[in-house]
Amino acid sequence: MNHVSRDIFRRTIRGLALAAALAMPSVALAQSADVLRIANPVAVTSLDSFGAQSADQPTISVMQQVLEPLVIRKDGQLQPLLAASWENPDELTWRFHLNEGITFADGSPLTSADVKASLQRLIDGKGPLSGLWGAVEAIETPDDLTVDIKTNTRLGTVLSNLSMLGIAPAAALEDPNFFNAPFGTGPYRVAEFTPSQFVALERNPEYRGEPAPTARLEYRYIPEVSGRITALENNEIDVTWGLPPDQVAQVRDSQSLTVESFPTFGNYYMWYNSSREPFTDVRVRQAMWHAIDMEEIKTFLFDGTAEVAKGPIPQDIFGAAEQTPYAYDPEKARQLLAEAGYPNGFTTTMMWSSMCCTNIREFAETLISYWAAVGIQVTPQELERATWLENLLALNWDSTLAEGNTITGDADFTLARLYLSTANRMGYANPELDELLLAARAEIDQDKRAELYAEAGKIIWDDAVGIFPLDMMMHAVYRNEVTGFVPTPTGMPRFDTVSKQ
Amino acid sequence: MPPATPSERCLTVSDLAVGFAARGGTILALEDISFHVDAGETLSLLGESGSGKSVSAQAIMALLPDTAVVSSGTVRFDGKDLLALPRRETRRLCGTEMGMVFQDPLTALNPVFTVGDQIAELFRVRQGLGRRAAREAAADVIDTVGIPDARRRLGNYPHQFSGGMRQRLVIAMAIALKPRLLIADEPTTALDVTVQAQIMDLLGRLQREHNMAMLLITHDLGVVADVTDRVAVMYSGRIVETGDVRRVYDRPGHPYTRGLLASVPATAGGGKHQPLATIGGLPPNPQRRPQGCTFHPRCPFAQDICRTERPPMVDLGNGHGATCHFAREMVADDRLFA
Amino acid sequence: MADLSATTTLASGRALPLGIVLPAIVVGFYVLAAVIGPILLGFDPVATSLADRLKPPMTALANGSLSLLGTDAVGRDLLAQMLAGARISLAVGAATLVLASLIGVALGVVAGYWGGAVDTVVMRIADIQLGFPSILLAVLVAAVIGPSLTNVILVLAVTRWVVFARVARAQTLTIKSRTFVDASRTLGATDAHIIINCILPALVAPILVVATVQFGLVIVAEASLSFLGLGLPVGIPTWGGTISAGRSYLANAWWISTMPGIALSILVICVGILGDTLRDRLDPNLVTR
Repeated sequence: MNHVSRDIFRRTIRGLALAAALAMPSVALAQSADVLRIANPVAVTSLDSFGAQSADQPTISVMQQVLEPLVIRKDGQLQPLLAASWENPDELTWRFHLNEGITFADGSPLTSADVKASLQRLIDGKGPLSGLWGAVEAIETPDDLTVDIKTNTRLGTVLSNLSMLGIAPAAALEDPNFFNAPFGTGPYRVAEFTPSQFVALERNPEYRGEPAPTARLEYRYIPEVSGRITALENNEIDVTWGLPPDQVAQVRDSQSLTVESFPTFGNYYMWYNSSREPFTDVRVRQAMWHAIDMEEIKTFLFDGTAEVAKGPIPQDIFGAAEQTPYAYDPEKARQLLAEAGYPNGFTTTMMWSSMCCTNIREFAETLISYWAAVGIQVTPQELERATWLENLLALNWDSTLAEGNTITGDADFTLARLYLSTANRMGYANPELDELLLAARAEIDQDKRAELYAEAGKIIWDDAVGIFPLDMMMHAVYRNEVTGFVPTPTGMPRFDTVSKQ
Repeated sequence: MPPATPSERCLTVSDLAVGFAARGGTILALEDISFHVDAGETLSLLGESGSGKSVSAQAIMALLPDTAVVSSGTVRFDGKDLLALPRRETRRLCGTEMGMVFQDPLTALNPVFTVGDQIAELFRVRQGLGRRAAREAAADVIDTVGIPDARRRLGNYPHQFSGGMRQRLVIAMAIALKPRLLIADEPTTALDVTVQAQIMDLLGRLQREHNMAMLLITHDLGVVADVTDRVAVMYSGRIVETGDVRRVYDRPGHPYTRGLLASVPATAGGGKHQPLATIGGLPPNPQRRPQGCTFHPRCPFAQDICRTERPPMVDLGNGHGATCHFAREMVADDRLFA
Repeated sequence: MADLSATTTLASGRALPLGIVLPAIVVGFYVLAAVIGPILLGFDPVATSLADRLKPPMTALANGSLSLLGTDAVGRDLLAQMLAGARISLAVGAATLVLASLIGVALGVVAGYWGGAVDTVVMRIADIQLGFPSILLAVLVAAVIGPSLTNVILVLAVTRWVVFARVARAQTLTIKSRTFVDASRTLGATDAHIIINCILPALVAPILVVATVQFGLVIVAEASLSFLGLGLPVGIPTWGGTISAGRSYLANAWWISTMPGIALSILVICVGILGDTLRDRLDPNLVTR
C-alpha cells in the first residue's frame, strides 16, 4: 500500500470510529455511600501502562492507584516507595534496594524480578516513555531485593523516570489478559474495565499500608463538560476535573460543590517552525510574542484560572527557572518586524488539534486577533488530532498551538525530549542548547542538573523557539461530602485518600 | 389505373415476421407479411385490433419496443432495407422521406412547447432554416392543413386546440418535410364522427398534391372504401387477402373479409337490406394459434383441409389474392353475393 | 372573518395558498438577510474583543455598539456571525442541490431512457446507498477527504443524488412511453433531442419539488457536519459551527447555541412547508396534463 492510500484507509477507519462513537448509548449511573463516582473527561481506552498509553493521562490517572513505582515525587522531592534506598556503585550503575515484605494483590511477594520485567516491558513496549530509557544497557538482579540498572552513558534522570514506572508482577505480565483487570502493590486493584466507558477499582486486600477510605472507585467517561457538571449537581457523580475556566466561575457559586484549582506540570505552548521563513529570524519570533497581551488573555479568556508563564516549563518542575517576561508592546513588535524586513507584516498559518485542550479554539482565535493588529495575517487550521500529529511530526506546518505536560516532573522530559536538534520537532537547531541538554541528562548530581536545565530554559525562552503563554491550572470539582482530596501537579488526580461523609 | 411499374414502388415489405420476447419463448405478432405501396397510391391495412396492423407500422418506422425481434423479412424503401440500416440512418429518413400520423392527437404533441416552436424546430434542425424562415415555413404548413389564422396560432400550446385541430397539427408535422411515404395509424379513431371525414379529406388532398404513397392503418371499412386504392386485410398477424379495393369489396376471396363486409350496415345506395351479420367467436390467442387455417374455428365454410393445412395465397387475378383453400369458389359463387 | 374567507377563496381558486406565500416570505427574508446582512453588519472572524466576551443579548459593547443577540466566547457579535453564517449555509445548500440534481438527473435519465445494464447498476447503487444512513455516510466521507467548502458540498451532494435520480428515472420511464416521443422519433428526432425536448422539460416540476424538500435537509446536514467538526474550516462562520462552539457555554451563555439554532429551525420548517405544498400542487403525475 502506498502512502496516500494508507492515509485514506486510516482516515476511513477514524471516520467509522467517530460514527460508531456517536451511536454509543450512555451508561446508567449507580450510587452508594461506599462508592466514589468519578467522571473522567477523557476516555480510558487501555489500562496497559507499559505500551502505547504509557504517557496517557487517562490510563495513568487510574493505574497510579494500582501499580506503585520504586520512587515517588512528593512535594517536589523524589522519595522512596517500593525501594528503600539507592546508590551509584559507579557512574553507569544505579542500584536499588527494595523494601522487604511487600506483596502484590494476589499474595505473591515483590521481588527484583518484577522490577526488571516491568522496566523491560516498558522499554520493549516502544511507547512514548521508552525513549527515556534509551541509555539502559542491562537490568540485573543480584538478589531478590536488589536491582541494578546499567547504562552506557551517565543517566541523571533515572530517579525521575522510575517515578513513572509502576511495578507489575512479572508472572502476570506474561498473561495477555492481565490488563483487563490488572493489580499490583497499590491500594486498589482493578475490578471491572470496559474500554472507553467504565473502570471500577476495589480495595487491594493485601495492601501493606492504611486501607483506602473508600471501598470502590468507579470511573465513567462523560465527554461533555455540561454533562459532567449536570451529573455532579444531580448527585449522579461525586467528582470530576478538566473544566474550562468559564465553567469554573459558575461552579464556584454552587452551594453543593467545591472547586479546587492548583498549578500543574502542564502549559500551553506555541511553536514556530524555525526552519521556515520568516520564522528563521529570531526578531520575527520575538515580535509575535510582544504583540500579545498575556495578562488580558489570562483575566478575560481564562477568568484568572491560569498563570502567565515564567519559563518554557511550569515553575514546579525540577529544573525550571524563572525567565524575563516578554512585555505586551505592539510598537516594539512592529519595530522588530520592520528590522527583520517585514514592515507590513506577513501571512502565515497556525494549526492545532481540535481535541487538544481547554479553550483551544477561543485561545487561538484571540492570538490570531492580536497578530492581525500588528499586520500578521494568520490563517487558522483546526485539525483532527491524528492529522495534526502527522503534520506536526512531518514538520509540515508554519506554527502550531498545543499543550504540553511534563508528566515526570523533570525538565528533561520536556526540554531534552523536544528541543534537542536531533529530535527535530520544530526546526530549531542550536549546538549550545544541545550541549547543555545532553550534559544535564548525564549529570548524576541533581543540583548541577537543575542548573544546566535553567541555562537551557533561558536559551529556549530568549531565542523565542516558541511562545510560552500560560501555565495551566487544574480545576477539580467535587460534591461537598467528599473529603481528603489532595491536589496532584501531574494533572492526574488520585483518590486513595478520599472519602465520602 | 394501370398497374404500377417497379420503378414507382415506394415501399416494399417482404416476408416480414416480428416476434415479442415473452416468458416461455417468442410470440409471433407478424408472419409472412408482404405488401407494397407505390407513389401516389394508398394502401389500407385493414383488421381488428390485435391483428398486427400497428406492429407493421412500428417495424417500418423503427418504433418497435426493445422486446420485439424481427425474425425475418425486409422492408425496402427506395431500394434500401430499413431493417438492415443502422438506427441513425433510419432516423435520417424519418420526417424527410417518411412521416407518420398517430391515432390520438391529444398525446402526439409535446405539451411543453408551442406548436409554432415544435414545427419550426423541424425546419431548423432538418433543413437548416434560420429562426425566421422556419417560423414562416411553420405558418405555411399549418395553413396547408386548414387551420384558420395560422400565424397567430403558432404561439399556442397543444392543449389550446380542439381534437380535430390537433390532428391537423400532427398531420402538418408529418408532412412538413414533404415525405414520400405517409403512414397514418388509425388517424380518425379518436375523433368525433363529424371531424373524421374532414381529416380523411385532408389526408386525401395532401396525398394527391404531394403525390405521396400512403399506408393507412384502420379497422374502419368505410374509411377504406372512400380513400383507398388497394387494401390488405390482416387477421391474427397475417395478411389474409389483398387486392384492389373495388374487387375485394365486391368479390371477397376470404371468408373473414366477407364476414367483415357483412358486419357493416348497408349504405343507403346499397338497396338490399339484410340482417346485420357478425363473425362468431374471437380472434385466436397469438400464443395458441390453431393448426391449418387460423380462421377455421370461426369460419362457416370450414372443411377438413382447413383444420390441417395452411392455405397458400391464391392468385385471383389482377393483383387480387386470398389465403383460403376455397378462394376461387368464394369469388366465383355469385349466389353468395346476390 | 373577512380575511379568512378571502384566504379560502384564494386557496380554492388557483391563486397561491398561504402554505406557499408565508414560508416563501420567510425564506425570502433569509435570502435577503444572507445577501445584504453581512454588508450592513460585517463579521470579521479575526476581530475578537476579550472584554466583550459572553455578553448576553441587548448588551452595550466596549466600542459603544449594541449587541442585539449577544456575543460569543471571544467577544464577537453573534448577529453579525449569524448573518455571515446564513450566507454560507444558504450557498452550501443551493450549491449542493444544484450538484446533486445534476448528478441525479443525469444518472436517472440515462438509467430510465436506455434501461438495461446501466439502469440496473445505477439503481442498485442508489438502493444500497438509500439503505445507509446519509449522515453517517457524510461523516465517513468528510472524515476521509477533510474539511473545506468544496468538500462539504461534494460530500452532501454524494448523499443526496439518489433522491433526484429516482424521481428522474421514474419520470423518464413515464414520458418515454408517451405518444409524442414516438411522434418525435418518426420526425427524425435523435435520442439527445428527445431527452432535451421531451424528457427534461417534464422533469422540471418534480425535480423542483424534490429540491425544495431536500433544501432543509441539506442545511441541517451541513450544520451537523460543522457541529461534528467535519464541516467548514474554522474562520468560516456557519450556523452549525456556531452552535457547536456554543455548546460548552450552554449553562452560562445559552444564546451562542440557541440563537443560530432557532434561526436554523425556522428556516428548515418553512422550507419544509413550502416543499410539501409545492408537492401537493405539482404532483409529478400531473405535469403533462
